[in-house]
Amino acid sequence: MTMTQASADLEVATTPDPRQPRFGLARLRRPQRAARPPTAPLSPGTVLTVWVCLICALLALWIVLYAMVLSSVQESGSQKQLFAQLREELALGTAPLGGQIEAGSPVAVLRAPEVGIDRAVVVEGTSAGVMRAGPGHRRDTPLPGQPGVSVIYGRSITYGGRFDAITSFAPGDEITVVTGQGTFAYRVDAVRRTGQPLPPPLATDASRLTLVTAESSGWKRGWTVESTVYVDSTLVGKVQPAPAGRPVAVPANEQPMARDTSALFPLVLWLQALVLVVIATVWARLRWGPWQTWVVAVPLVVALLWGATNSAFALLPNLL
Amino acid sequence: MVAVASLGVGLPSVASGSAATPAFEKTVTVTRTHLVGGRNVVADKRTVSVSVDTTTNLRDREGIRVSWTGAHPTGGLVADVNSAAAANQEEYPVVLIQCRGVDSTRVPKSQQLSPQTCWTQTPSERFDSDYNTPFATWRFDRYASPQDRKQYVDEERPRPRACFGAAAAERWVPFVAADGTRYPGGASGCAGMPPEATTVGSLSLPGNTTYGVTAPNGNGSASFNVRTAENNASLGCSDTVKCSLVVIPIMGISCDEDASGLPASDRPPADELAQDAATCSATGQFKPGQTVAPGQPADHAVTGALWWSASNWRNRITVPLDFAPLSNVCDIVGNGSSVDIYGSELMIQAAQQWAPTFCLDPQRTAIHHVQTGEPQAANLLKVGSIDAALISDPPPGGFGRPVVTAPVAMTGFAITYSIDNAKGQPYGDLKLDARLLAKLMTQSYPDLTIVKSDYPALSGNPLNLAADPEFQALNPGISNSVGTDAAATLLSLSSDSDVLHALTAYINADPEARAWLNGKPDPWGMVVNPNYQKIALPTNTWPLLDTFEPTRYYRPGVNDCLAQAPVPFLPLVAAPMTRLSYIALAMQFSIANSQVVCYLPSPIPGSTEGAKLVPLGRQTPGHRFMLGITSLADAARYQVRTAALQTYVDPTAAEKFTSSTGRTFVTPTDGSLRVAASLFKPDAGSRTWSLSYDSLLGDRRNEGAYPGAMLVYAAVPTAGLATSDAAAYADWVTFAATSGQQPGTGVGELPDGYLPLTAANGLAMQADYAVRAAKAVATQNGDVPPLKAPPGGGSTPPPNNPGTTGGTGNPGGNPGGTPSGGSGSPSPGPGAGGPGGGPSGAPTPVSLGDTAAVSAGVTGLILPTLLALALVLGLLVPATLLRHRFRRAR
Repeated sequence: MTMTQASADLEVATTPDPRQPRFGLARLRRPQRAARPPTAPLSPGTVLTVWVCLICALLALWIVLYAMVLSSVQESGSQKQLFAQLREELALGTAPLGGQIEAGSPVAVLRAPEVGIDRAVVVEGTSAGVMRAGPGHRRDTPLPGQPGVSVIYGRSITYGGRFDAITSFAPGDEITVVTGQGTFAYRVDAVRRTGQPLPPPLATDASRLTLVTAESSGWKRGWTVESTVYVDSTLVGKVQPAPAGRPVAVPANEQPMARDTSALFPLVLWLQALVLVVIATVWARLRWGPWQTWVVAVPLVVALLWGATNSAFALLPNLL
Repeated sequence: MVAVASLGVGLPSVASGSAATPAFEKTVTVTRTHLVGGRNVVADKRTVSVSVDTTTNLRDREGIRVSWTGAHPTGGLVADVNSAAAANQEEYPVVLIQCRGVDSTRVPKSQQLSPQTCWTQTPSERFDSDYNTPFATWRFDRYASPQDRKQYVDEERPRPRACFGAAAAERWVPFVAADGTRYPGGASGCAGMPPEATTVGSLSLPGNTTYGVTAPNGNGSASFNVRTAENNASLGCSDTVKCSLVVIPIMGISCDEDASGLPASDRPPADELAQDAATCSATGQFKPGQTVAPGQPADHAVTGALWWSASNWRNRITVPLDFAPLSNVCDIVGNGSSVDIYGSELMIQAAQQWAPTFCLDPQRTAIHHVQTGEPQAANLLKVGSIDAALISDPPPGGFGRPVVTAPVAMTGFAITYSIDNAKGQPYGDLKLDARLLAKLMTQSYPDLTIVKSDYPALSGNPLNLAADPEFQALNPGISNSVGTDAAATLLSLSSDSDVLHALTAYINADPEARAWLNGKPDPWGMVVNPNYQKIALPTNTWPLLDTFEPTRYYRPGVNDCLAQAPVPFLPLVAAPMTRLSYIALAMQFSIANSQVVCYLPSPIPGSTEGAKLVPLGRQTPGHRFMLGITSLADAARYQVRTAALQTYVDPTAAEKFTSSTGRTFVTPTDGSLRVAASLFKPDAGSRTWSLSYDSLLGDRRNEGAYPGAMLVYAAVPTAGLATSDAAAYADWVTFAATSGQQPGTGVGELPDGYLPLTAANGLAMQADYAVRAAKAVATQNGDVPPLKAPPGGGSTPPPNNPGTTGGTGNPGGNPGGTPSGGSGSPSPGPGAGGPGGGPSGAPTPVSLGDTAAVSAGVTGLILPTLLALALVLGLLVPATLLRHRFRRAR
């Protein structure tokens, strides 16, 4: 359907040549081939192939563009809002401290200047959908500063890729976390990859913060994810008490590298809206002027495409 | 070659070996002697011998087998020997009845048994009335005391209004409960009956009073179901309150034909006397073995309804019963401290029998077994909510913390059945192959003719299991037209369970069953329900997938409930239960669970107010047909029959078979479990043993192995437990693997249904590992010992538990090593898990294992893929156009 819409835009406005396909590339080629003898008509199969290829290529480029650039823009917007919300809650003393915290609400601010994390607002929950707004705090672990092992997942590429550089942590580096219970300083123990020994058991009154993200090597570095990588750090100073009532387990879609299939529903709705707008555009193009249609349709199509892509990205690994 | 191991009825006879010497034997001479003109006239005289297979350490709902010889043959047979109908219709039954008290005059009166302390489920079994004459039969009983020969005996005064007007003669037999409460009873229990008694109700348990049938040769036997205070507090039998089984061979009333024992003022007139005396001395309407005919009443004087009369009561044989401590003994008298262990229902019987060893010993900590599904318990252990679990399959990703899996029992599941053959007698030799189980579980039998005709996918399939020619070939003698919905399904579990995993692994490993599941019709043309086709097995959760709703059946007047609220039909027939113990109860009493009956509570005809679907309920003896999944130990305790399962199939055996020739079927016995035990192979990774189904089914040498065998492990962490809890778990695991493996029925012994973990049974390695694992639990230093004992007893290799993330569980308050701070001791890297690790001499730092691999899979490569796609497609556009122009130009 996207093909029909685009071709309508490019189609000859004047009397169409009866031998030419109604939705042709004639218009596009005409200026270059003006000097050439009469235009050869394209067979319908060729036209279809060309358009399908073109549209698919553009869509693929769009998704890559979204992943590398646009998603980060969206994430930084979300982060601003979340920071404002958390700031207010900290000021009022209403920031969540434990128990059941609604997924997606801000719980902490993370700073680690050594690896380029200036100010990351951590949200509760680690599903791919929730982590579009920022690093996610795993729900079956205590909040940072409380006794036990707190686990925070962060994306490595898309949506800001805030944890892309945590593998460059050196032992001894400092991570600062602000929660409703105060400011906590963690000292990095080590970066841990698959096959390396787990850190030793924790004393009852100690706290560990484990940052989790994904990485890959070689040519895949920087735009793919292969395996998880962990950064363990230990709290310097005293732990704060932890309120009871934390969930004891998280569903599969909040595990590392998990995909959030619950995003399928909004995705379907976005795609439906997109289809409707495309049909409307074709209709408008046939009965209205090309420029008027352009002006109205392009922002709408881009907005819907953005929404659909944003939904679709929840179906990708949450550490991507 | 045929049916090697299908000899015994089940485990009990094999495991306890009690069949050889009965626990109780007694012979008495019983007579029916009328008093005619002051002289004794012996009408009947017999020598009855009674034997009982077990009388000690009885537990609630346990079945004990009572056999007798020499009794009067029984006539007027009814289907249900536990019913009030049996009391009124059967002539010359042998009444088995459970009574509180001891049959001795040397104990205080309150501890003696009498008809008033004997349990009957229905009030009509302890009340007799006569509307025609004030001289009822029992008033002619020559052995009854004058008190008991009055017109009204023990009737409630003042007469409760619920009891309406009195009959011409009434005999009440009140019941005295364990707490002293007197329940007068009366017609339909109008003056009050114990709370456990019922008047009707097919969903409740049947009573245990048995009106046993004697064959024409004078022999007979019955399974008597004992009840303890857990199930029947009014009767109140327990290890402290003595009870007896009273066996009364009914001979008929010994009549005082002249009524000479009655006061002169209270004698029947002469013309009536002859008639009443004849009624009293009647000898029966039915020939031995004849079934009861409608409208033909039995001779009351020789029925079991008069079991309490002095003539019958004097002929009794009393069997003293000895009960094991009640299973709730630990809740009542426990020493207070206890720790919980969650999981496997396969362990219910063993855990119950072991429990008093711990809770009654002040030096030990009681272990409380919380029955859950194994996957649930493993998950709770994984996240740290519980401290110990009983499981059979280690969870796929490991526990994420150091946990030992110590074998504590060799047992398994049974396919139990309650099936009557074409003659209405219990069928005792059921053979099933994996394909039949697959057919039952996949809802591939249409059950109703309407479903069969309207559901094209199942239209070629037999109606139910009984109609399946494959089943008929293996089990001749069972009617192929069975009406019950329960014949179309296997009563299974709705919750996650390792039992389902074992069962589906067995089905999956059977080539015929797997091929059938994949869509190949069986040799008779039956196909799998398409909703289950190619289902991935094994699985520990069984889905209900069929969605067909027979609209012709879902109509008002046919099934009002389903007409109002239609739901898929075949899942209602399957109606799985949440617990294995519920299935065991349902199987013991043949209570079919298929939720297809529409119950209309409204008294107004045609009104569907409050309509709801209810289970089929108890099946009538003689027409029983149901199968279920039960643990071996439950099947043994409750004497439920267990099916023989197919193992090895000879290559020459016919594919479309007409008998079991060439196919081996194995029942669960100690012997068949022992063969299966040899097929459990150690798995060093998960530190468990797993059964190789392929070698079990595919190798003739293993044909005697029972395919339902399962090992149960106690999974206990070796780090993070409080010292006292760790000691308690270690104590329990050690006990379970050593002295708890002594078979027997006493406290602390191993009940039937388990194969002891001993060297004689080829399970020495498991017992040895359990003891070493218990030591690791006690020391709590994070060790998980390897399956094979280290030769030198040297260093402890680090555990190999595949952890999940980076220790996301709760902090294991382990003081063994403070977090290694900023030192960041360089990791030895992967592959240092060999037994030689840690040569530094000093106490090796506690290790929780290695970081597990988490891979993103192909979706991690999405961006390069898309970019490549864009490039290729982008190049295709000019390429297509160029090609076009080139062709044009030619």
